[in-house]
Amino acid sequence: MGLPDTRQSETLAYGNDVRLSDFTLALRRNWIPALGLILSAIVALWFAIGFVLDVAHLRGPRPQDPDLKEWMTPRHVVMSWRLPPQVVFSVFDIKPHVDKRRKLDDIADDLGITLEELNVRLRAAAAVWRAVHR
Amino acid sequence: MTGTLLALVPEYGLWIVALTVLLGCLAVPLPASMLVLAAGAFAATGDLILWQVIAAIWAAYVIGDQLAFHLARRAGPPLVTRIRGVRRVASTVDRAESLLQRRGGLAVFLSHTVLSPTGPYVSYICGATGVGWAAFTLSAVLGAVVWTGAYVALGYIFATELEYMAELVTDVVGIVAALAVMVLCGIWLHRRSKRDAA
Repeated sequence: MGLPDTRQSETLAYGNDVRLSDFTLALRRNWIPALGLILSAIVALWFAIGFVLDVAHLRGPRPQDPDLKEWMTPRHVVMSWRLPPQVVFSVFDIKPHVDKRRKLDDIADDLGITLEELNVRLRAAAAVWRAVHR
Repeated sequence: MTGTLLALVPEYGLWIVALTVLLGCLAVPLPASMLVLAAGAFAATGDLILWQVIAAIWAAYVIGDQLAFHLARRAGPPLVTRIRGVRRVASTVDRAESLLQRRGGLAVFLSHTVLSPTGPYVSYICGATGVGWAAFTLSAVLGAVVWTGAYVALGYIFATELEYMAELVTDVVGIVAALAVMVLCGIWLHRRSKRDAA
């Protein structure tokens, strides 16, 4: 074991510089595919992080009665809240066969209330029904 | 954003889903998979009828595919001839054509199922490079059956988790599309680097 050979170290450093400059030169000459590669890798990583977060959310505990959303239909609420249709239709003041695909924001508009208020009304009705039937 | 898109299905029914799928087959950037998922979920709740959902989406997919294939068949060959005229890419075009002739069926099937964001482009390339109509149609129809069945089933099974499933599907489609671009750019960079070195 002795001191490292200075010439060998220089050669190695020079060799790395050559490889590095070749690589830089190749990137400069082909910057469009290189940029495409980097940008698409960033986009893939972005979606991959979103995927992991969404899977973690799906695996975690979720509320028994999810908040009402504007895109939901009365039947979707019946299914996700596990309530009998007549309880939901009665709170929404709709006829099951006529208004079956009405969205909740339209129903709230018809009742002259906000979606949040509709949510509160349904929670109250669900609590009453569950108290009686469970 | 997800909520606004999901709201289109109860608002406009199956028509909007079928139209989105058809335009998606022509490479118009629309959230077809998300709407198909929603249609499956609304079939589970009884707002839509399951067999109609499956039939409409599958038919839209097949019609969209055929439109893409025949559009490319009409407009594509002059374009391919022009590209082949560029000396440095002529051999690449020849290789791509030969590969499609040999393994076109598999490419079409994969691009219509697990690699669905690449589907429209593969349909265009098949039409433009003279892949046989029967071979293309067989794989495309089978791919459409699998794709439609998978997304409708996912929506149907996870109807109460629709919003999260829609976001998951968007993530998966985004990952596949970005990886496809990455692979293409990687091949492009590798070939150009090899050419520079030679």
